Amino acid sequence: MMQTVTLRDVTKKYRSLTILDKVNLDIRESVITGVVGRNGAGKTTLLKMIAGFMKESSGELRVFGERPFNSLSVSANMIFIDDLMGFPDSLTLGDILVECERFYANWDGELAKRLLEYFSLPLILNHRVLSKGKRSTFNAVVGIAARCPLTMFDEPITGMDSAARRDFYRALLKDYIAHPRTILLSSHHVEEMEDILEDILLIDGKGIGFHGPITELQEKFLLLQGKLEVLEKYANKYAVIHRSSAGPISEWIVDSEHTEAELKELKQAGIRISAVSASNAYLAMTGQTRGGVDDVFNAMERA
Amino acid sequence: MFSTQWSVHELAKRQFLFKFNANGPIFTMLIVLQIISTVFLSGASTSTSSYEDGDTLLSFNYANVSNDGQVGLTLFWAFIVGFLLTSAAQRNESFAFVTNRLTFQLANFYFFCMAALFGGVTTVLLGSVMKIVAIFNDNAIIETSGLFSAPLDFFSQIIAMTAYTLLLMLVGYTLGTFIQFSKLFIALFALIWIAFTQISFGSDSNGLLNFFYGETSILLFILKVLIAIALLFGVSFWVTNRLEVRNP
Amino acid sequence: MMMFAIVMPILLIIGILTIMMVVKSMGNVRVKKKFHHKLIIGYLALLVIVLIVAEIMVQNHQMEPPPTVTSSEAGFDLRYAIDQGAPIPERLIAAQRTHEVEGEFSLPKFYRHAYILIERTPEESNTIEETVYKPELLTGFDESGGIYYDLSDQLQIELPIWDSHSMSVPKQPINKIQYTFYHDSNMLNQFTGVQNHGYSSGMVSGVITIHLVIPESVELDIQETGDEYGDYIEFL
Repeated sequence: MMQTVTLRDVTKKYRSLTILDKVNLDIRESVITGVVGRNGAGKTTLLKMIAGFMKESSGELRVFGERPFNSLSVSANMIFIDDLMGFPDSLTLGDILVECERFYANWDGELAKRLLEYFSLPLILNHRVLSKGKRSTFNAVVGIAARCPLTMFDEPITGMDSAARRDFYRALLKDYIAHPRTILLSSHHVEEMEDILEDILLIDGKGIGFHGPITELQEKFLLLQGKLEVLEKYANKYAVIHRSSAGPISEWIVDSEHTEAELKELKQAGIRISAVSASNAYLAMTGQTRGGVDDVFNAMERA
Repeated sequence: MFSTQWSVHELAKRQFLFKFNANGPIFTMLIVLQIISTVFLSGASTSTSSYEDGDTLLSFNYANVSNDGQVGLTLFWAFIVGFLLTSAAQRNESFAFVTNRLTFQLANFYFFCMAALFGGVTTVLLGSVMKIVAIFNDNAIIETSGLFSAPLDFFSQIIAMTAYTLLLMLVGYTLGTFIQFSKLFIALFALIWIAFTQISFGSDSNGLLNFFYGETSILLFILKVLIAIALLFGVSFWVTNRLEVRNP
Repeated sequence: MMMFAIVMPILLIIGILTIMMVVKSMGNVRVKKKFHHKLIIGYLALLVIVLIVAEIMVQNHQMEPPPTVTSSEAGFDLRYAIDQGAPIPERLIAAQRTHEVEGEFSLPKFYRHAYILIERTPEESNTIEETVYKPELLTGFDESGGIYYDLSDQLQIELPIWDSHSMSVPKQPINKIQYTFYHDSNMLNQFTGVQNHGYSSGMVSGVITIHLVIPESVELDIQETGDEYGDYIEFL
């Protein structure tokens, strides 16, 4: 399969601050990849480098086989949608759609108009008078209708209400099925987009934490449910990533390194074993499950 | 590998059209400024002087009417427009669509050419308004020939005005580009400005102003302006070409 | 020029801020993109119409520009020229007359409306030669080239009134002269060969000068009043 984006030892630095360190990555053509990671992990920086807005500090970055910074061809085949996307104040939404048609060869104006109508965004409005959620919706519609071979959404759902978010993911998926393309979608809300993702790209600690099919991420972990004593007796040999308890039943998320026999033993001990959801797996991977911010306050109380 | 390929020229043209559509207010602004200045200047009848002797036996008033005011205002506008097009908002708007830094710069340049031509033509034409204002006064003497009597002069006026307007736009644009790159350049430009004013006005008819204004051959003047514009374009592109865009 | 160095940047900054604000707020006012296009076209069309109207008006206007003089001719020092017997340009002479007087010649009091130069000749005669010189009114239009408009013809003067034994200077008429000059901005005229137009600068010698050549044999009766009246009469 063709690679749309390849990174070889790509580093991005801001003065002395390293944001991404020696990243190696291949993004396959016509795959929807979710880009996840904690705040400041470098998701936006990675996407903006791929878009050619920012320059890599070192390493080799190729989009469609070309270096994206200052590449006209990459720009012509790529669209980058975020909530800071600027459109001129003097143009109405309708005018902006006309401008889009000028620049994007695969632009589907009819689709854009219908989607805007559906999201109740009148074409005579100005972009700057839109509310945050409406603006995000409009930008997302532009991203879908542009049908660029490489479409990137950076936090596209900021400010959207839940119905709009659901509709956006649905619209994106439908249009993707009709017109397959490479889509990079970054968001904090893995649970909302896990249904449409094929691959997941997890940015963690200045590099790639995980990159692969979403099921593979889920398979890395197991969810164990049972009485606390039983869990402590049988499951202590696993690396426990997350513990929580609801009444008499405790839940542990553990690294999934086990043999069939071990699994059998656990089941016999009365422990329920199930797969973790993608979002739990994501939380586990990024260490967001280890105690969390509560620990800070607990530690302060103890001191 | 690419499904869409643009030539630099084609894309610069499309970016220019986009810029023209998006920046209508810039032209409207000039029109409003020109109308205000024309109404204001013709009401006040520019630079009236009078001599009177002690017993007011003789009072001599003369008014000079010209389009100096509009010329100054248009040049002022030009500088600001140049500066305005370097703003982060303008850049983000352009980079919301297909572009690279070269087509961005070229589209800006096309826009400047268009705006300068508009500024040049309107300023020269506003001379006619002032002419009519002058004719309604007593003993009006029209010193400059118009389009019918000296068409070549008329077009040379448009060329001179357009050239100066374009030059100021590019000066504003280049300064703005540097300032967008680093705010430290503000201090540097302030120093250069002080030095420039000391040199240019300290000794008369010297320095940079005379390089353009002192030129009497229109061909040499155009050559000088073209060289200056190419220089400014190159310098600003050198900065623009390494600019990271769509930063908050 | 320090003023310029300081005021100019401040003006620029104010201008940039104002225009940015106006351009921004235009986004709020719901003007359509088409509005700006229509305005541009309309404005250009209007200016072209105005141009044609102005051209026609100028063609029909036909007001000849006044004669010009160069700076070497302008501000002619009459007093010095008369003193030295140097030639005096024709344009300054308003009248040249001779008058026969009987007996004593008197100059009644007049009020600053003329400047009288009296020259005595050792002749035995009762003929006084009188030359009246016009006041000058010049206004500069090209300072660097030193070219002035000569508007002296526009000044109305009253010649002295003579009888057989005196000359009286009448009250001079009030001159109110209004001129309007139109010229294109100097900046535009860089290549048109039209002379630059300067501002201000011009000169006027407000009163007529009367040069009298009076033979020694004619006795003069001039009242020495002690006020400034005396300053307007001078003996060469």
